[in-house]
Amino acid sequence: MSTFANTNFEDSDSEGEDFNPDAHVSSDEDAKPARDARKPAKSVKSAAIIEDSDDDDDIKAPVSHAVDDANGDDAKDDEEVDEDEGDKELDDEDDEEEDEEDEEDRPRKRRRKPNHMQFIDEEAEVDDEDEDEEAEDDEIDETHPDDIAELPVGGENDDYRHRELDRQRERLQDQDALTYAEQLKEKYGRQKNLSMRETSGIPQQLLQPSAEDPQIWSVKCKIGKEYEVVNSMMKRFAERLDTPQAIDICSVFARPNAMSGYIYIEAKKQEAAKKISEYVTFCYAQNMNLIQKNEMPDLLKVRKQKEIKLGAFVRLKRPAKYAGDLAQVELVEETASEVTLRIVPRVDMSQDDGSAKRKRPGAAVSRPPQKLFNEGEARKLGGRYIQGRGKNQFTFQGEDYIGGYCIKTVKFAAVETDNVNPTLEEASKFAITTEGEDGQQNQEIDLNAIAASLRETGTGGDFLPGDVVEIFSGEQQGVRGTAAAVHGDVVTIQVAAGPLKGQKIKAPSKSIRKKFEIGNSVKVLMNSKYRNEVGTVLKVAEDRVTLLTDNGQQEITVLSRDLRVSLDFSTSQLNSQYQLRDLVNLDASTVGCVVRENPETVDVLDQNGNVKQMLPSSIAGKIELRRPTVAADRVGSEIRTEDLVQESAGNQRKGIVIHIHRNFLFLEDKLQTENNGVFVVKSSSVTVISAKGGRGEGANLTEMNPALAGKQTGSFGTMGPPGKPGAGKLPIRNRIDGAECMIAKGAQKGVKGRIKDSTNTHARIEFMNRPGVHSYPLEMLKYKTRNGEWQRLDGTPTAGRVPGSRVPYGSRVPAGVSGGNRSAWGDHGGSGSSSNGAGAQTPYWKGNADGARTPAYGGRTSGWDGSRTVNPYNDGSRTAYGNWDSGNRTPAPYASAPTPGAYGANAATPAGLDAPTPGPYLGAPTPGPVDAPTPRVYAYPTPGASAPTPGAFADTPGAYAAETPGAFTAETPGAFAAETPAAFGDDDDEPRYA
Amino acid sequence: MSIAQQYGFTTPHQARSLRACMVCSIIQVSSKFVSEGCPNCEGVLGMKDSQEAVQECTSANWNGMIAVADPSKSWVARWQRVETYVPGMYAVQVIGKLPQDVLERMEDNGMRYVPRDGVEDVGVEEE
Repeated sequence: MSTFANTNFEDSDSEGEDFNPDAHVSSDEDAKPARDARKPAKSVKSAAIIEDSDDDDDIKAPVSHAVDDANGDDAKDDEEVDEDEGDKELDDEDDEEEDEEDEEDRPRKRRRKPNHMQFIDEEAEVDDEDEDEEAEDDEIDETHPDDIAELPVGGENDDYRHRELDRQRERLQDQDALTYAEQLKEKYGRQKNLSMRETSGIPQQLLQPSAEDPQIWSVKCKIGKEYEVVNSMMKRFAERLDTPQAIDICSVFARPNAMSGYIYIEAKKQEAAKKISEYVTFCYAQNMNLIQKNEMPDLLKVRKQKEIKLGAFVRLKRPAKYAGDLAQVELVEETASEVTLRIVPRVDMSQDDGSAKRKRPGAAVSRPPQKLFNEGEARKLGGRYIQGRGKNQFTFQGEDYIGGYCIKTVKFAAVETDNVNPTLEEASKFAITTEGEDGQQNQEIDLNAIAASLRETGTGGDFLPGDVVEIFSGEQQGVRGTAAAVHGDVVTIQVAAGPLKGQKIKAPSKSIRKKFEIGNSVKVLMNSKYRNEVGTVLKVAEDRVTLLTDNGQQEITVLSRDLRVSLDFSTSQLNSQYQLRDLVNLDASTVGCVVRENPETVDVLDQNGNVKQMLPSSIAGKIELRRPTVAADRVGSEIRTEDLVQESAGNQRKGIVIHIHRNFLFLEDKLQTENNGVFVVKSSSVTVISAKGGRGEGANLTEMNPALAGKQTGSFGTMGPPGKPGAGKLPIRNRIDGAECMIAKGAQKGVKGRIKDSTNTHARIEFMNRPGVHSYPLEMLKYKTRNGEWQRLDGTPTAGRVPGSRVPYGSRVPAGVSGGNRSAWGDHGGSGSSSNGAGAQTPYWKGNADGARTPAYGGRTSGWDGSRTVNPYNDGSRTAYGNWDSGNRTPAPYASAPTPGAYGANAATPAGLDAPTPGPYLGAPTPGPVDAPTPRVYAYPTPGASAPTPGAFADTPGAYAAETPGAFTAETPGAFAAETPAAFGDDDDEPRYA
Repeated sequence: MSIAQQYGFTTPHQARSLRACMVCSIIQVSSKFVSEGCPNCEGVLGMKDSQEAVQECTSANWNGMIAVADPSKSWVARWQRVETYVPGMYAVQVIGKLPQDVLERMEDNGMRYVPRDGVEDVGVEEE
């Protein structure tokens, strides 16, 4: 068999290309010319250039001596001969001398070759020669003495024997071939006489079906049973072959992947197609559709399968344990459609015996966290189930772990190669171990893999019309232009240069990358870890762009897909969860103030004055101040945020208090540059220079008394009256400062920004899309509440204020309890305070008597939460707090059992409550108005009840009532207003509130 | 072996072990490749009695099944370039790469190997 294979193929050089092997071997004609073609090559006579190497020609050729090549020189020798002969023509006579010397060193075979060459075929002429082969130049007729000696006398110039031997061998081989063909025929008896190599090398375009070709009918079949149907038909065809019922079909095929539910029958006649398909299980042969000739090739169109590259990142779809996880391709087994992946393991360490008990299918799989495999931990679980396999290689619970990773082989189908989009964080898990002795380099490779998978999965969304792009792969590689339109994954490019200039061409987005020039001002988009960085392009290497950031002057390298030309200024405002001047918890006992935001990190000045660079993830959290904090300075004056204080010793630094944490003050001095002007001092080492808002000096003792505060709480309705000029502006400020806002009127309607500062009438706004701070009247603005609703700001400040209120601080305290704590205690500068503060503006709304606003009230329960711990001296009096807390929570029953009637009664009998002393109120024989709806309030064992001023407590229900959302929403402002005086009770003429 | 089996008929439960020759794309049960080799390319692939060669030169990753009943007359067979082969089951697409040594052997024998994974014909496609 192998003999045949050799003889059949060895002559291929002269035959040209051959396609796949041919089963058919029986024909004599095939073998013969092949050998004939070879023979002339051997017996070429040097100078003679004969174009054709037919059998006839070699007879005429001059006779050289024959050697033993008839005994079967192999094809290799023949090739060499061909090459040599080519040399001959190229070489000069001058070479002769040298060559003769060379000859001595060469093997015999070579030396005599020239003599065998009687013909030179065309191929030989164009053969490329190695330098040393060129030396192979001889005189044509020269015969080596050895050869001559071997030859019979007179044989030197006669190739008769030569050819005879050839013929002899031919016969022999023909016989071989015949026998082999016989054998084959025996084996595959149905073989027809097929012509060889008919279609090999012919482009498929030229194989398009012609009119003579059979027709193809499509037949429906059951989806999923296509191959079965094809098999059944093949069976029927084979079984009826050579019987009267033989079915004359050419082929049947099915392509479930491309066209499921159909099989296709190729036959000359539809009758045959019917015969083969009728009564075939799963085949619905009722309808047959003829396929148009021009559509036939489409049926067999093959799409290249998505190639999975080594080292690429993919996502797993199965098993469920790893679903969605990133994995790196270690090995691809295409023939088995399997891929071996490196996965960050999720070893279930909860299994005590490690025996991988089979869980019930369908049971919710709780995924163990991703963690590199740790031998020690695994041994603890079930040492006997772990098997070491060399260094860092283990088998544990049926999975292989190498170097800490799980190595797993899955089917292609279980792997997602599209839209992998590995984040740097995910991908870095794979980088850790590859960092070995040359970690740097490995890192680079991984980046490339990420880049590749990102590129692969790139979607058209990355391109916008106007982007300058370049095609980097495909036929139009190198074309540059501007993206004119983007439709899905297809980008239309207006070509800017080259022969296609001015034309619009379409290209798939994954073959395109954005093109940047050095000096471009660019902005980094979302996907990169450097997102929102703005900088100038320094270097472009393929799709990696190095830029110098405006902010920090660092050089960073990002993928061009993550960049966009930008006219933005560097705003350094990052979407970090921590912002400048935020008070953050570093650990249980340390707090700090953010003094600088970096792209990935923040610098935090902690309470001890140390600046640390921290990852946002390593910060425990932001401290949201829900209540005003107060500290005492060295002389006992209270310090609140935004007060101006000065160190009494040391550098005597001055600063505005931005945060108060226990006895530490974070101050800001805008004139300082260090740490953005932020520094930390102890509260006992400073003195207040000026208090924010001109607050009265010294601690107000009435505020220190929670019971008293509670009493005042009751005055919710009258919280309008702030005792001091200027205090009234606080509510708005607190509510909106730092809030996101939007212009609600005028030409710039809809423009968003952030409120930096505000007065009663105006707010200063920093817009998101342009630099600078601008002032706008409050009427023009809406701001965003914490719930994400846009709220209008109605600037009718202090309208409901009651002049001459007898309790100067009264306005604050109730606010504190009722949720508007800020108004009471001054703002504490927190940017997130807007919604907390919202409660404080109660008086305004009430003052407006704006019915439309009431619902807003109802939604403000959160404000209550924030306020429930209000206490000016929060650090000291925890217990009082607790009490107040519990007291304050009681509104819940209220809310759940709204009895407007009670309120109505309350409102209806202001006179009764208007008693000059609270005592009567509490001791009234009919506590109905207050008591009836909320017996539990009273039942609640709040110490407040035992407070020295029972009157205060008596009032609180009123406050509760006010706070209850239900109550608010249920009542009209009017009613609400009516109730207030009742609660407040002690003095003034209510009508003003109505 | 029944005549149907000679023509490449397989039962559904054999479907899992079907492999396609990467050279001629004929589909057979892998055991048949081992026991009989490839009816078309045995000369160059030599898969008979060699499990290893079968693993290397055939692929389980194929799709599309063509029952070629009459190779010489069939346009489908011509299009798929299997018209000179024996009748039988052929795959439309065979994914996989022949080992280098097999490729070299084929080259030495002057055969032009056209991969059957569809890569070659990408240019023909309009996409």
